[in-house]
Amino acid sequence: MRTYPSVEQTQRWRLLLIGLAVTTFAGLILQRLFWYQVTDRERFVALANEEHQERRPLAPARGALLDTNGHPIALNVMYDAVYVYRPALTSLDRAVTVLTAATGKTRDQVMDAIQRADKQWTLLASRLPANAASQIASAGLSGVELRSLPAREYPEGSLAAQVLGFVGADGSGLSGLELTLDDALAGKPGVVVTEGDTEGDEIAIGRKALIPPVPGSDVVLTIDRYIQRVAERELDRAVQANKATGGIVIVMNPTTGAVLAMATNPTFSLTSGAPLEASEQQLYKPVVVTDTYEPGSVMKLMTAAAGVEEGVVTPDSRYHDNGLALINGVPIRNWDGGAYGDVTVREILVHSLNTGAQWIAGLLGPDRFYRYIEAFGFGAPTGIQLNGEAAGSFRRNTDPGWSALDLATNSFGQSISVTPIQMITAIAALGNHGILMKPQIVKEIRGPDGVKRFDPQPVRSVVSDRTAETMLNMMESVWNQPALSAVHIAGYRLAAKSGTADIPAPNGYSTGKTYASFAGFAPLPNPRFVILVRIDRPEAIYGGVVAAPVFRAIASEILTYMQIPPTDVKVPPVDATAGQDRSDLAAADRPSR
Amino acid sequence: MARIAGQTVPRASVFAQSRAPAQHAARSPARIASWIACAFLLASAALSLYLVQVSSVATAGYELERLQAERKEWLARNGQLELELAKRHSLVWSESQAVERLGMIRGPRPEYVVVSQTTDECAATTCALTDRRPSSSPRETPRRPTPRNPVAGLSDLLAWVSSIHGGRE
Repeated sequence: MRTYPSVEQTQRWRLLLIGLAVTTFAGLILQRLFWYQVTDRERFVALANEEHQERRPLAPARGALLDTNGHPIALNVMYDAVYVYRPALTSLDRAVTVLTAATGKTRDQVMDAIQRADKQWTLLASRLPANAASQIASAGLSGVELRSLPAREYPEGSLAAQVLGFVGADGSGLSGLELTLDDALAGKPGVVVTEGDTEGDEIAIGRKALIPPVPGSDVVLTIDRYIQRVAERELDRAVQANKATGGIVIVMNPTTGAVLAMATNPTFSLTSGAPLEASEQQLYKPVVVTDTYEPGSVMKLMTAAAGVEEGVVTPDSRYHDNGLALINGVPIRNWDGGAYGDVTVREILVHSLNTGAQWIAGLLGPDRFYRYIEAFGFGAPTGIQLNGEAAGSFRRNTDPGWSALDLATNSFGQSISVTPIQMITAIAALGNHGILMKPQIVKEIRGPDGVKRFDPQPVRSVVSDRTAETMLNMMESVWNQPALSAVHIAGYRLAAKSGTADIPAPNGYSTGKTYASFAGFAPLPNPRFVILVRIDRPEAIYGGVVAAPVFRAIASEILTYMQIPPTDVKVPPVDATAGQDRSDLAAADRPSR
Repeated sequence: MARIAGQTVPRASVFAQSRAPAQHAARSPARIASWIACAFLLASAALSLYLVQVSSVATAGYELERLQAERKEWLARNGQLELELAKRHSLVWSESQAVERLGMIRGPRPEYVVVSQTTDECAATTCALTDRRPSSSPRETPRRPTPRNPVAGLSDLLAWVSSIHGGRE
């Protein structure tokens, strides 16, 4: 007999099944919840945050570039840019009226911009001054937005453009010091995390996390804006007057290696804003450190210094110059083709005799000669804080293909390539007791963590103090020669050396195209600055003719600027009872011009 | 004594047992109501406080945003003014103003005069020249009178007073 479960049993089973189903379902939900909340929590938290959190990067303020006296040469300024979006504009007429008044654009220009902004937010005007931005903001126009953007400004105009370099639209350095010092100048970006509503607007009482940006450091350069301006002005004049293709001027403190001015021609404008054409973009590079040239007779200073230091010659050692030296069958002649007969080493420098320079190099021999060339810093970057520095090159006696002709030509600055910064650094050593200094263009970095100073860095002692003094003495003789009397600065003792180097061409040297250079110290006996002037491809080809007047003009202004009194100033005669005023006495004492 | 269910209990206990539930029944609804009212009031107060707080935080948040925007604007203005100042201090501007507005021209080289430091050198050379003033005549200033001789002192006093007045320019 079949037995049926009782009603109670059936109910119990049904309840049990329902309970089981509910429990299973609840278990599934719990398992899912566990997966959401625990197992894969991070992913879902990130997804949720992405929905309602907004991370906005905070750009740090870029540091300024200051001259050695703290005057700003490049600095960042915040401006407002105004954007329009036509579909969101509720009152077109009012918007046009307000924007015309604030931006300084014509009504038609504003209308055109608004017409174009029918699909997306479009820039109407940038670099708005604060009062114009305030005018727009207070109008409360829908469809018009203001956005603060940084801009790099140059209070001194395009001063030292190649040295400073420039920044891109994103504010990062692209050339010159802006690139080299980008890490210090740029600072560290911050971030702000906010909660937004469904419209994407920030919830005022929402959670907010802020990591403030670290502002960029201010960089103080060794460049003196006044000396830089004088150098640029005189260089531009000389290039124009001599119908040259360009030139460079460097002014350096020989005792510290600090670069006081670094002028180049041609250069680019920092303030125009428009990028250069592709064919002109080589102007962006600081040619003073990136480009090499054959220095010519200025190199005779190094040859003579090595000879004096090694004791193979003295200023009074005699050499018979017959105007020709045959090296491996190749004739070497003087710059003017002349023969000077019996001359001293001093006269070799005064008359800039190629034959005499190769004679000194021959006395030294290649080992000692190239040891000094390297000791003066040629063939290796100086380490100045500018990107892209070239090392220069020359063939050493250990290199394949070297011959005695290389030694001879190197002694008077041919078949050797150097950068202008190498050349002036090497010359400066002669005015610094024979100690070669590392050239510096950054004086200090003023950051949020304090001031980092760059002290002068001696590299090595190349020649002795005595040799350096002897060289200055011989350079003074060069300066005092009658041929340079037109460029003398009355009352001051100076030391200098000219150079005229042929420019290499594919098959030898180009005819009639030279680098005319002139380098020297002022004042003696304790030089305060050294100047190197180079004029490229001038019409009158000689350094003593083309570059010496530039040297004189710059030196003369710097002497005044640095308030360096003349060394041979005359004391007015004693006349206690004289009733004449001081201007009479001053007139009597005034140096002839 | 009273008899309840055959048991003898004290009268006071009978009253107590008979009155207590009645009192409890009478008090409970009122007490509950008062508790509920209190709780409601407390909850209302707490909610109001929360709303006030949230509202004030929201207001402060908007005020903060407004102040931050204002600060940014002032910082931008400050930066622009600093730039303007730097431009006014620049060599380009100074030179253009000196030449165009003031009509200045480049001066000759400065002249230097040696000023000796020692007394002997000073007397012999340029200190005398630099100290020379147009109004400083060789006239000797009378000394201040002493009270030793009254007559001489009076004349000296007059001379001294006149020298003070006469010496001023």
